[in-house]
Amino acid sequence: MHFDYLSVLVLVALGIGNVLFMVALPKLLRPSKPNPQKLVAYECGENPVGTSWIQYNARFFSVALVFVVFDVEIVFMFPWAVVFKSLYKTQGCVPFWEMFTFVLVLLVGLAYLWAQGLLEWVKSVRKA
Amino acid sequence: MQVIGLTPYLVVASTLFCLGVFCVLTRRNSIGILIGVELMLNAANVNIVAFSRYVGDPVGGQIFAILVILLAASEAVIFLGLLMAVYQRFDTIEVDKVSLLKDEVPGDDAHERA
Amino acid sequence: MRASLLNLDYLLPEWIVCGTILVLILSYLLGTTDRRRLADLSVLGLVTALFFSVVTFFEPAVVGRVSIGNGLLQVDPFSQLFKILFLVSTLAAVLYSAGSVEIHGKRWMEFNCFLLGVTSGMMFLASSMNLMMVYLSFEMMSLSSYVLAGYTRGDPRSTEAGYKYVLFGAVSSGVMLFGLSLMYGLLGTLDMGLMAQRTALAQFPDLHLLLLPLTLVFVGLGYKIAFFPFHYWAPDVYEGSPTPVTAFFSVGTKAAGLALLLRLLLGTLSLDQTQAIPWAGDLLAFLAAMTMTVGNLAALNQANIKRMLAYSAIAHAGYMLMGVAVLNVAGAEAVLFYLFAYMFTNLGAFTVVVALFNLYQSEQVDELTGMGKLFPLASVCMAICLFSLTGLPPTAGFIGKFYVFAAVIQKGYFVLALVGAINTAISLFYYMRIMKAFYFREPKAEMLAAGPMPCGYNVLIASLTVPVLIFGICWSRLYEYCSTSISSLIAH
Repeated sequence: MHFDYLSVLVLVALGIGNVLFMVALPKLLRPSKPNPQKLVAYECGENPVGTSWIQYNARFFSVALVFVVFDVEIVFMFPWAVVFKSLYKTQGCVPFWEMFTFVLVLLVGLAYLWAQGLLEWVKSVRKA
Repeated sequence: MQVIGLTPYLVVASTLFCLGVFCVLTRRNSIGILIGVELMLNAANVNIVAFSRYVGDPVGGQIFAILVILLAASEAVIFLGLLMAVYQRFDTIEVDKVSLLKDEVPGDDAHERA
Repeated sequence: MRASLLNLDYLLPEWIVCGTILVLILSYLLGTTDRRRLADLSVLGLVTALFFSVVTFFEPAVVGRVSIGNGLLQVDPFSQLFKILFLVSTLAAVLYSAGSVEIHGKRWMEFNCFLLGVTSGMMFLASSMNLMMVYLSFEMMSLSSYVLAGYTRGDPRSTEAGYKYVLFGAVSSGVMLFGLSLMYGLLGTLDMGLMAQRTALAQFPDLHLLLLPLTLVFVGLGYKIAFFPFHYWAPDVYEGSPTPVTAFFSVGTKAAGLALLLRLLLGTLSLDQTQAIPWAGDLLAFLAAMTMTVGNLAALNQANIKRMLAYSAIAHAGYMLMGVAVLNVAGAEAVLFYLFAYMFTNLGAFTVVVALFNLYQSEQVDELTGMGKLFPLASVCMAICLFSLTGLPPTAGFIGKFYVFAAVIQKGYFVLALVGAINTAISLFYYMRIMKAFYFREPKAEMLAAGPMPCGYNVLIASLTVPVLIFGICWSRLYEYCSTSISSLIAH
């Protein structure tokens, strides 16, 4: 048995148990007199208007798309940057040119996005 | 700290995979299906990293895992892009409702053509 | 220099294809929006890549198998032959979609980029010798093809086709990845060459545990090649996608899936030499029989020509799977030859469909009547292609089927061969239905109003049909190339 982790299990059990206890106990003890005004969703004192499931602007999605692509580019650049110094000693400039090619391809993509107007927030007339 | 061994990782990965498959098979909402797909891909990730340690390959599994994360992200992006197009056309993202393309049953076909 | 250590110069075809994508985007940004100009760029890139693929196919260093990137990729005649196949199908795709009304001019450059993206993914897949590379190139191929399937935004069927393709594809590749991870754990390495050595030497007594990973990988491959029971997406996606895209899928991605299947079963797991998984051949034979039957029977009822050709593509995947099921060299060579014959045939048939859709905007067999009178050349070529799809001499399809059936009978799968023969007979019915509509019925009055078939389409259709006849009469040279490829595949 892995008794090293027993303390973790106890911690998790106590945490969950604590929360359950704190939810269950008031539920048992408090009076229950529901009233339409009391049941309204809390929005910092304001009266809520409309449904809670609204449609977000599609531009958020475009921005997220572009972000994901370049974020992944950075993810790949990190390990390369960490070992670059030792690579430079053994292999010279070649690792640099490899990463250069990678970034170049993505730069072409960025240029295309820019030209298509996907980096603008305000929806203007796009090229295509 | 005692070494856990390989089995718990495999169990976790298999559980995640089965949950992912269950998610894909039972949900009507497309985003729910996407969540199932991500679960499956991440289950495979856990598997890969665990095996990498077990097999004695210090780097291969880790690189594979990063690659899988990248591809899962790209796949989700394309999935959501096509989902947006579907919503524009069909006004719904439920899987059952998107079905213009069907096999023709011989009996119905005659009615449609007439 | 280090580049020669990594042997990157053997990847010249892939460099050219990826470079063409960049050149296309850059020239679009610099102002070239003319459809013909962009098409010329793609064609130039593809022809150059094709030239280099052919050159490297014959190069002695490649015959001895060049490893690239420390074992990530392997350039050998097997991979180069498949690259030639992919490049020819993409070339035809660019040519017949240049005039297609389904791909609008504004998005033509992106269409080319996605097409080339699928091609580069397929080319890397044919060369992959590492599980990581397999998954990466599989996804590269799939992601671009999801977008291609949903390309016509105005048509809700296309959107639905893309959506269904993505759904099925994402789930299948998730399952396949899990299988690949289990294979990694079981065989202890990501490198498929090392795996081949370990399975050939039977260093693993528990090789039957490969049941689970192989089944999971089959799910992914089955989805790509569209064999039973993973073919359910194919009719809908093929019907809904723009016709140029359907044609490309039916040939290109299917061939890529088969390349991976052959590479896995024969190259990596050495199933032709070991008896480690005795049920593998029988399972594949069963799947092949079911695929053929399902494809052929369902095609009998179809009124939409694209859907009919989709089911026929499923049936042909079944015939090819028969060749894989025998798990030996003869079967693999037969599959490779069949793929070439199938490629020319299917592309020819689909080009006729594209051309007719451009003129009449119709895909129903009952509406495309009397084409024999209106477009004699295209109809004759369509007839030849349909005969080849059925497997009648003297077409390449007959030779392909002959080799596949020969391999199957030699191995002893007589029931499978019988099922194949019955299915071939059944397929005659629905292929000839198209011929009946073309030749034995009068054209409708409104059909006569549309113009003649553009000269470019006639040339393309003829140039795709001529190889079908040539390979039906003198096929030995092509078969030799297939043999070279397969022997390089199984050499360890």
